[in-house]
Amino acid sequence: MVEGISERKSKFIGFLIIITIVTGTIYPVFYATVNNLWGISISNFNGFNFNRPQRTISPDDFSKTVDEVNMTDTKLFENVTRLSVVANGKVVGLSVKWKDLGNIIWKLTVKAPTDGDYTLLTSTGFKDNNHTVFEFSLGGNNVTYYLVINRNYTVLDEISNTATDVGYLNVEYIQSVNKILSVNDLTASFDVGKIVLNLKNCRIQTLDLHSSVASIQLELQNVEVGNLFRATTDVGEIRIEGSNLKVAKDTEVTSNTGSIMFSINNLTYKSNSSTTCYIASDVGSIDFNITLLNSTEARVEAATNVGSVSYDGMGIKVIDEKKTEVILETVNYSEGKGIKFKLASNVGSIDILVIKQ
Amino acid sequence: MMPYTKTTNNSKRLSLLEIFGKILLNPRETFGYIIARSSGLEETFIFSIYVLSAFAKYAMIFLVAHQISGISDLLAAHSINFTVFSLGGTILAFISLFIFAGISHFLAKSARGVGEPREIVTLFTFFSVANTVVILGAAIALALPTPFDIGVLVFSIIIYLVWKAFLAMLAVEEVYGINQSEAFIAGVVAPLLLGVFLW
Repeated sequence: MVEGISERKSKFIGFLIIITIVTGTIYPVFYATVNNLWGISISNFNGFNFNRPQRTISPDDFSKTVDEVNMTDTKLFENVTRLSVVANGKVVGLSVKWKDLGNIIWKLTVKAPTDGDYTLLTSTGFKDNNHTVFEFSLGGNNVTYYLVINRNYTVLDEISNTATDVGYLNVEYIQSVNKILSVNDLTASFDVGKIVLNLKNCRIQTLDLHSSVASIQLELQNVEVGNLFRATTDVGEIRIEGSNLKVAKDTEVTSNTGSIMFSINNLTYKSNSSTTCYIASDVGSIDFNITLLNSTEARVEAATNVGSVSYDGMGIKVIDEKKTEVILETVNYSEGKGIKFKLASNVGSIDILVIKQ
Repeated sequence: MMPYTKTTNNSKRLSLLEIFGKILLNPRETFGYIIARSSGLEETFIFSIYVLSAFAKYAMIFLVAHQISGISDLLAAHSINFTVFSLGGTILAFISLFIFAGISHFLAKSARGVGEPREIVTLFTFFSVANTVVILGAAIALALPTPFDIGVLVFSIIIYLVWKAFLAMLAVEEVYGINQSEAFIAGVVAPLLLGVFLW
């Protein structure tokens, strides 16, 4: 009997010890992950300061069911002057696709949870047999969305239902006539959603994208970003490709653990402003490839803590070079006249190709 | 001086939970049991628990340090983040275990002890039990404001070191059959002086 009690007591104590150790392992890992304590914040990085903005998106409940609400208001757009697309939801599926045809038709279908808290500031559409169709679906909680169409610039093409539980943003604009689409704000922030932008002939004042877990892919052709161009992810990769991109005064492409590819043919900037572009990843490689035409000058400062920096190009000179750092400039670059790029990676290699023609 | 008589153990086979429990209740007898009857699989499991407990210990200490603003700034200034601190500490604990065992083995053999290095390594992995004191102390410290969190953490580390010293001395005694004072020198003093005891 005494032996039985002793046996139970020692088993219980042994269980407590094991549970303490296991809990003491799991809790710090969880805490460090949620509070982003694993990596080193990119600041005071090999000689230059870089303050990465902090975004906190808490995990969301993705199990909400979505009911369909059809809105068939046939109010006609007449005096619309700008296009703004804002999707800022924790669980949002948004797909916008349009092309310029001259005449416009919209059919707007909104899907939202019955218990959701959302505001649709503008929702309209009408249908005619001779016109194209715009179909816009979203589902999520606490969603703010407004869509205003500038009839003079664009029409909308047909989009299939794209609402999902985990959310994404897919925007594709293909212009068929020489007109510029003017977009005020294109902002999207998702926990799990992927962001894909395929834009051509667009002028955007603010392009601000964040995806916590998934990737951001931008295909930009003849796009100008006016004030702010920001693409950030926590885990996903970022790919920005295209040609004829005029970058904003503040451009920031950063990722905690994803790799970054920035490949633009004919990169320019507003000539009356000094422009600095930050491209950085805590744990991820950076592939930087730009071509500069005409009078665009640039300076590239690249540094990594654990990794290597390699560079190649034409029309550039090396200002400074170490194993993990390099500074390059185009021949006629001077401070305040040109684009300054700061590339930083804590753990990852940086490959640079700059061609100045 | 009477020679040390190794503890004999003729009892039934113990489960792993019982082994860990009995380390607390009757460490000497349990050490004797482990030397005599433990299997390779049990030793592997006990070693894994040791590594896990070392990680948990350093991870919890980092969390406490992180919530103290002066210390967290100091850590950030030296680029010491969670990864570096907890994984680095675990690796140090792993390496120091073998160095610790090597020093104790060498000194115990010099004192004419008889034992195998594998046995002393196995018994030293039970320092994981002492690590739970720091884990629990850190857990309590996380809920307290500064400076109480520092006080609780330091106190738990002191208890951990004292308990670890006791287990180390007992382990050397059981494995090599040397007396208490010789075991204390081989298992505590020498490793402490050579800097491998604290990890």
